[in-house]
Amino acid sequence: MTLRARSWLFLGALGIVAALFAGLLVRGVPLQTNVLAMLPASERDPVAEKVVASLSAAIGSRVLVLFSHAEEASAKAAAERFAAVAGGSEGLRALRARLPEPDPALLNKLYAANRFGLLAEADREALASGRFSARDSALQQIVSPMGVAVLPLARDPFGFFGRWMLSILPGAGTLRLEDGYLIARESARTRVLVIGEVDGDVYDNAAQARAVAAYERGAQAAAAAAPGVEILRTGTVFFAASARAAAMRDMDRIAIGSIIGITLVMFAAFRSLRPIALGLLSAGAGILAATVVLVLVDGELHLVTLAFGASLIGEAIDYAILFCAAHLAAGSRWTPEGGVAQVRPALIVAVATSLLAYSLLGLLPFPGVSQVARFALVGLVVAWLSVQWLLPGLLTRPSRRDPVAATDWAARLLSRWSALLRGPRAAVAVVLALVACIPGWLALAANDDVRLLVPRDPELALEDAAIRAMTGFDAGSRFFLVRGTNEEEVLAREVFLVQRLRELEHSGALSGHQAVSDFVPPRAVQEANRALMGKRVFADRETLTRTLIEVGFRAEAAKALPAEFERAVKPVTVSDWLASPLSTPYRHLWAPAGDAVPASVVTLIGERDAARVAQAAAGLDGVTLVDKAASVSALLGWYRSWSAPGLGAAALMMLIVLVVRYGGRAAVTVLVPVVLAEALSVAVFGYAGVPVTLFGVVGWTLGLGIGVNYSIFLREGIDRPGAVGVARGATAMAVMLSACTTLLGFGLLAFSGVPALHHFGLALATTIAGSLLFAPLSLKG
Amino acid sequence: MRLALVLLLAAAGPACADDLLGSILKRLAEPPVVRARFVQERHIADMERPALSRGRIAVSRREGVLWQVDSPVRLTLAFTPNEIIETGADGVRRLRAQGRNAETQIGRVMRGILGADAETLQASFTATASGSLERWSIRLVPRPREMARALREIRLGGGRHLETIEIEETSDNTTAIRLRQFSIADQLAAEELEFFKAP
Repeated sequence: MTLRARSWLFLGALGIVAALFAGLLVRGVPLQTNVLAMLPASERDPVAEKVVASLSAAIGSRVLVLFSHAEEASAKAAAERFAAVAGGSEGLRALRARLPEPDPALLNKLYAANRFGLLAEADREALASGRFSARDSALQQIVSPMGVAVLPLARDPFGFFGRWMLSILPGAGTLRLEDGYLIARESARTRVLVIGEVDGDVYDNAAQARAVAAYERGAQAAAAAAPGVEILRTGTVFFAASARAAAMRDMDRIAIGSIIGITLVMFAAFRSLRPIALGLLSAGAGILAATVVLVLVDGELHLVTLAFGASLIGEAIDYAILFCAAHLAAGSRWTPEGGVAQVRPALIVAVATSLLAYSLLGLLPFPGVSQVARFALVGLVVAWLSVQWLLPGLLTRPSRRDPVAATDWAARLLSRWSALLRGPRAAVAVVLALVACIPGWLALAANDDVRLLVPRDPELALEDAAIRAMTGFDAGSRFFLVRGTNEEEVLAREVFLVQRLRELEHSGALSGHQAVSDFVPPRAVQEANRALMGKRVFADRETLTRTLIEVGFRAEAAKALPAEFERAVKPVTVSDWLASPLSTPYRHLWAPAGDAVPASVVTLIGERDAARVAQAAAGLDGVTLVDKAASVSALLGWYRSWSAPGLGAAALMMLIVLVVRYGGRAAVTVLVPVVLAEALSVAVFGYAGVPVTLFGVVGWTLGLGIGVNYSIFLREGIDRPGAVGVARGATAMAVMLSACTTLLGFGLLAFSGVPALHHFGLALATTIAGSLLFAPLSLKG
Repeated sequence: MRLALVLLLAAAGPACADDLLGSILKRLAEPPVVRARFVQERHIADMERPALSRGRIAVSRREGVLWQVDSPVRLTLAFTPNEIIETGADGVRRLRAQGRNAETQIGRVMRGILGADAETLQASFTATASGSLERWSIRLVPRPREMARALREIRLGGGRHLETIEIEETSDNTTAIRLRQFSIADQLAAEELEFFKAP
């Protein structure tokens, strides 16, 4: 096959991939913004993992918007206007400024008939201790000037049912239900809360965009309806949308920055647009293919992969640069076949070491990191193939520039720099540099906080904290999972937990909790309560009736009560509760892993002493604290702690490749520059106070693979037998260009707003810069 | 703040109904502590006869309202801004309500009425005053629908002090409270303060 035919074939294949990509673009590239999706399963218990997912879906779709104004009427008007406008179009649903009036009959329907099994804790204690006096208790109810009566006094003459109802009402936060509005009044401002839900999956691009657009429209209308209104919002959808926007901004900045930078640098070196076009074509082919392959295989791209992919340009273009440098160096003697043959060994060693480094990354069980690694594997292989098959056909004519004149500057720079790094002076410089690193190494601190993964918009985080403090709603990343063999056992186990939580609430370590057993006590508890009432209240029906008549009740009413007690024997069950609209806000608490697994969730509100709350499950059967953020952080820490041995293993594997090619002694000198660079890079982290994270470690791993390329290129280009004099300058130029383009790609990530990318970029940029500086150490001399 | 606005208007223009309400409340809220004896008469559905009770009340601007029933049973209720503390015949103190639930709102209303707290009253009721500063009556109609569901209206009457409270519930239960033998003090007695301590 001729060179040209092969080029056309490759271009044809590229065209098909581009068409596929265009097809994907039309449908919208599925971009994953959920951090959890990027992480491995962190819970040992698969049920817990499932519950985390179902709970975050239930709670994650919630949207809370708070309207604050000095005038109560304006705050309400703003809330009404927002709900009408934002809820009037698609994006958000179930938006309510004013909650529908709850039907008091619902409470009676669910509980009143079976109320004799329901007792507040204080009443149960009083009855059990024998302190109960029917006469005093009834009279106290009668003389109380006001009270909340769910039932007529004659049906609840001792107030047991009323007090139980009060005990299950939520007590956290400063919000009150007033006239259907959720209102908080403080410091001369009135705040009104509007609750709604995202219409669709919070992490779905389109649903996210619609929800945010609906919010913006509503907020604008609210501000117009009530000038001066202050609007706070929170909800996973806002964080996800802002993270996506930040990643997109990063990607734009990095892609545009690196393309401009690379173009300028390449033009300065080659004085021609052709190498730039070829380089971008080669790198572009790699990135295009990687994007299409991963979307087809994985179904979606994680946003971290996207930001990473943008910076892969810097590495993918290296192969084309080496090829174009060879073209320049050959001058009039250029043949494409000869050029390919000349760069082949260097490219193979370089690609092999990089692939090795990325494969190691791909072995990490992090779906996100593994996707990044696979993206790089596909991208680099395609970029390399394009240099082998595509570029030769497009670069057939020899360069007209004088090779010596064009590369002389690079040759001189290399000579001067190698002269500095030669002999005993080099050893002294290396030792001094390493000594200077020591304080930096000692200052290193690790940080495995999972929040580093996502850029949390600080303004949104403030609004979120303000709303949570006021509403008592929690993000739900930490909760108790209660399991048992059946419904009754789950409820019974929950009761033990809830008792401890109540103690914590009393001592101020926690402000509240939500548990199904508060609404539906276990059957055994209901039966025990009923038996207790039977013993202490209804034991002697005659006396009870007489007492009720004495305090003033009509005879019929006094007689009806014991009769009703006799009839009401059926306890309230979870399915009764689930069937009632009253359970709507709490349904996610029950059977969170599906109906087949008897389990429930107890959520926490306002944890002020996390350590003591975590202790609440100690020694309780079937109760576990699920803390997704903590277990993910622990996992990140575990992988990070394996990073040093991991890096060592990667270096060793590369050493094996190098030994095969160069022999033992030379292989070590090829590896020394990059190892030295890593040592310096680690010290930079210490000096700059940047925490060591798994992502920094990933950066160092990749840096190892890329940094060693420069030594390889230099050695292959200059120390190879039969290299012409001009090769020295051309190779030096190629290596410098490669490092510059990589710095312009990955290095720009160091300025990313995403902490994970920032750490990654910083580790990589410093390693690359160091590798370039020390690369001449690998030359024979 | 609203009260200040009312007073400002009163100073600037001719007397109006709002001005009367503001003046009444301002005057009622003047003493640091007011004590009185009360007789309460409740008409409750399913009861043969009105339920009578007697006792003492102490309204402190600082602590809140102390409602002490002496007969026919001993019961003390202490209404603080955020809780109602109940002390039964056995002397055991317990929390009757706490936080944001409905019972505390009722406690707040009680405090608003007995303590003549303009802000609390205006937040929950449409208030209209009639009569003169020496002999007035105030009609309170609940505004939030949760309250309106249980409460029809409250009528207050008095002169220098609040003398009568009539409460009409939607269930047709009614309560009439008459206050008399007023005395004014600078602060609550130590034994009264005991009732406000959290159990």
